[in-house]
Amino acid sequence: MDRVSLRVDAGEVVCLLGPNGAGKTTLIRMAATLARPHAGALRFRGADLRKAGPEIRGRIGFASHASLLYPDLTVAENLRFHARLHVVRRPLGPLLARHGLEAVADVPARHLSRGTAQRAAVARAVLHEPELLLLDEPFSGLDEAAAEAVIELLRDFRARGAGVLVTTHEVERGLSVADRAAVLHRGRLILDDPCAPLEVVRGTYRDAAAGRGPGPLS
Amino acid sequence: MSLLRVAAAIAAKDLRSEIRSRERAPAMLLFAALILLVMHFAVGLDSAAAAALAPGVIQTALLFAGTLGLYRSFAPETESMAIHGLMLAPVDRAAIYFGKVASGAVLLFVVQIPVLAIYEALFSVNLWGVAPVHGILSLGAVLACGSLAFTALGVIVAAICASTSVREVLLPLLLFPLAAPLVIAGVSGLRAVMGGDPIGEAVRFLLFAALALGAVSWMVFEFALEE
Repeated sequence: MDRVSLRVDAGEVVCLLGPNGAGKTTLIRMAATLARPHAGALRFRGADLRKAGPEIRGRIGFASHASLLYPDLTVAENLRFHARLHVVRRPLGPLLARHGLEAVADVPARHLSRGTAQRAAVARAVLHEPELLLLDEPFSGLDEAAAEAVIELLRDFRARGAGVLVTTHEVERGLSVADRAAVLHRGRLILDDPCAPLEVVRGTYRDAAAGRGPGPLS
Repeated sequence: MSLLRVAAAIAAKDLRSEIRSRERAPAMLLFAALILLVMHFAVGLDSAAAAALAPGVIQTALLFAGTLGLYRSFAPETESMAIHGLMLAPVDRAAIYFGKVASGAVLLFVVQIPVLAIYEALFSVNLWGVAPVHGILSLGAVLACGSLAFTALGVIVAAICASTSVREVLLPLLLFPLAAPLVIAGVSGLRAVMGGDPIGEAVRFLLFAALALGAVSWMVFEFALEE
């Protein structure tokens, strides 16, 4: 990361675009307190995320292209385990239903298809209704209907006042739900303009993916 | 949620995973049994030699079997990066360490029971001395404390090694020298049980080691995880 400055407001969905190796996953992992930056500041509602304690971490939800599920536990056991850690006491039935996981609730995560595992991963990330939702490539491996369900979920989170940061390669899907898009290229933010027309965002992403991104924002 | 309750939840999850996958315990048991079998061919049917060697042979077998178990102790967490889900939970990250120690110690202790039975069967040696009930309780105490201390050390070393590409080589290189005092205490405890002598000194040392390792790991485990 090099001089990246990015803000996600409450009730806002920010889509972070960038080609492979741009640093999207590194950035989102730092925001999720899973990696510690060597310098700079990371803040969540004013609190320093680098020193985040359990109370702050519990307000963040994170899903990545890896499922973050225990392979030998069933989907229901995985969700129950995380619900216990997050002290979520409501029944998990509605969550399973919402993510289309009822039929596979008793299937070990190891035996799930890529798309179903991704749905379960998203369900795990949101079961405690976080205030900041960080999704790293959430559409990867999902079919059309499942991707639509994720987009619907993001809209719900926005409506509830949560901030959402989504990284994706799938430009059109990301832009369809985003309030704002930013483009990352080789560790630098080369576009983060809420007023930028979609065509400019698409063009900047295309250029970055082709390895000819413009100079970084000052 | 308190640290102990989280640790208990993580330990229960680990043991449930192990019961399903049977990845660690059978391999540990087989490895320990093979070591005993090799010793059987080396020592033959000489009961006196077998009795004299028993504490050392058993502890060596358990050291290797325990290390084998430690190789896979973070496998459920790293296979699908479930460790990230744990790290984001609103709990003290040290609870992950204590949960891993609890499940690892239980597993190692359970594996030791058939290992001792195999040793008895192969060498016709009485491992619990002259007073069976007291001997079995003493044996259980030495093995339980040994398992706890070894796992308390092994889990923090395994966590440090887990993110490296040479973890298979690094783990025994780091672990064996550090585990030597624990193995020696275990040998002395087993010898005391077999001779009908007091085991207090060995048990106290192993418990102190487990507590000290737990306290140090509590402070450094979060950094080991992030790395």
